[in-house]
Amino acid sequence: MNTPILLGRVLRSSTAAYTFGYNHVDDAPPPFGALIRADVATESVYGLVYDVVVHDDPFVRQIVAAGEEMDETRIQDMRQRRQTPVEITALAVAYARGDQVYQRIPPRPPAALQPIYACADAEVRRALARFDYFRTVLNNSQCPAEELLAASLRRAARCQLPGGDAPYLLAAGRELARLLAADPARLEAILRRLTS
Amino acid sequence: MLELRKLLDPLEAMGAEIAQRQKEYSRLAEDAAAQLQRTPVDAALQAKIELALKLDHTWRGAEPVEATLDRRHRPTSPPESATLIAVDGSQIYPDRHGPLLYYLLNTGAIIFRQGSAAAPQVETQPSLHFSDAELYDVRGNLIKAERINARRELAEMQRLAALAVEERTRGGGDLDPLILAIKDGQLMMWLGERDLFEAEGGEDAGITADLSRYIDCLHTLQRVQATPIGFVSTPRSANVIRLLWISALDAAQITREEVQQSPYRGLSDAALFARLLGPNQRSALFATTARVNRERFAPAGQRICFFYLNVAQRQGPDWAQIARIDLPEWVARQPQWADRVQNALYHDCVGMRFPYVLARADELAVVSQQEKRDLEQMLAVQLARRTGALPEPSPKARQKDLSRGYSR
Repeated sequence: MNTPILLGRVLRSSTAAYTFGYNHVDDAPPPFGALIRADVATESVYGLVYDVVVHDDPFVRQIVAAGEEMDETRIQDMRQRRQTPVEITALAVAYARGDQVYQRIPPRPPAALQPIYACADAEVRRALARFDYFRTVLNNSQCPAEELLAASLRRAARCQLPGGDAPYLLAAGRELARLLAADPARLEAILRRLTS
Repeated sequence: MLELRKLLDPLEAMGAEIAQRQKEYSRLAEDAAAQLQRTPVDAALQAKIELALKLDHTWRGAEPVEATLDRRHRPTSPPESATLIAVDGSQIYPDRHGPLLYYLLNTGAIIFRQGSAAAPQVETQPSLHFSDAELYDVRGNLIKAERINARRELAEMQRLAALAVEERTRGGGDLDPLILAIKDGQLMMWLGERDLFEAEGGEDAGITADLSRYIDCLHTLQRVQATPIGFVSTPRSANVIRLLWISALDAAQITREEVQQSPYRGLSDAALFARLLGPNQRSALFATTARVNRERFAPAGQRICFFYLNVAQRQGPDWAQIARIDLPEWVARQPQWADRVQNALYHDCVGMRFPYVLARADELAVVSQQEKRDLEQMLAVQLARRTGALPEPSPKARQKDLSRGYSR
């Protein structure tokens, strides 16, 4: 089994969502819609990345405002050495206890400084095998729900075993059609994003 | 609470006074510039300097190091990629109203390799001081802020020396690549005349020992050929102005009163050189006549000299940003020293009119109020584990915290 990739540590959290500081400057941060994991005691809390914020501060603003040609060493200093992490927020959509995955809000949030890991393909398949989390996403007013569902499904489809992506997306589409039968405009918005 | 409306009249008076003073300074600076241009560096000038020091040993003037006072130099050689090592420090002073008596020093350092396109190396080094020997002076009084500042300066210089040695080792011991070891503020360890007097009287051997360690660091930097730099931004010093005043007097006119009362009072060297220096142009090199320089640094082969450098990008006195650059005299004996140092510093000031590396070192060194509160909580927990009781701040400190919304 591969060693899980440590992405960062929790800055603040609630049962609904958690935000962590990301400081892997050499790699791009986990993209919108990616599944990540925080371990809380005997549970693993799964979240979908829905907000990535790169902070500024007076130092950065001063340099940008100066408008001079930027020295590459300064750019790397700003990106790699300064204490201004990229902040990433994930919506909690599931948790696992032992071998069992529950697609609902976790009983407790990750604690501050709890490590956050990227999820490997097998873990994505296991955590998002069912679609009960759709309702959690669709009912959340803090995240761009349609965009997030479409992005997470596209990513989850790529994690399926060979030949499994189309059946996975078909099953997801059916579930969405059932949930959004009374809201065809929203359903169409998701399906368009899913297929384009 | 500050009731600004009660300051309206004084503010108006202050504005008028400052505007008037600026006009006066402009006239004085013009006069001083003319004096700078016509004063030769000769035996007569040196004799006047010696006389001024004899009449007032605290006279903070300037001694010329180069053949002319009105030198203006812009580098002619192209910039090279230098390594800039910058260190800055901060401190938490002991608080006799606080729950625990201690002081903290924290140094922040950056090693910035120009042109490397790689992220610089950064570090911080905190040190906690809590023993009686560290907290009390020889008379049993709580250590003064000035002594803590001096110890911080020593800690900064020790980091600079250690990092410079590491950097040379990293480069295989080749002494040719330029390394600047930069600290914020003057390069001389700050010692008041009283501190120096006490040290001479043997009352506080710690001051003498700290000064020796500081000078040892300069020797270390010299051994690895790293150039020590003290960068003074917006300097208020008037060493050259004082020199110009005594140069304008006949030797017979130089009395203790004349030395101490200059018509240029209030005019700074920076105001003078802002009129004279263009971007990336430096003044002549001078040595400060401060007693500690003459009696401690110079005999050790580390006499501190300085020049003024305009670090602005735009031409004209209104845009000028004059910095005072301190360095040891041995640097000035190296070939091409001025071009190399000037180019490296000036390039690092681009976009900020202040060295980028010092801004970063300061950012690394600073201890926030929140960090201070966190540290004191950790100390309190340590103490509570051993004594079973949490240390208490004084009633005064508690009241102040309450009114400011803090909780210890």
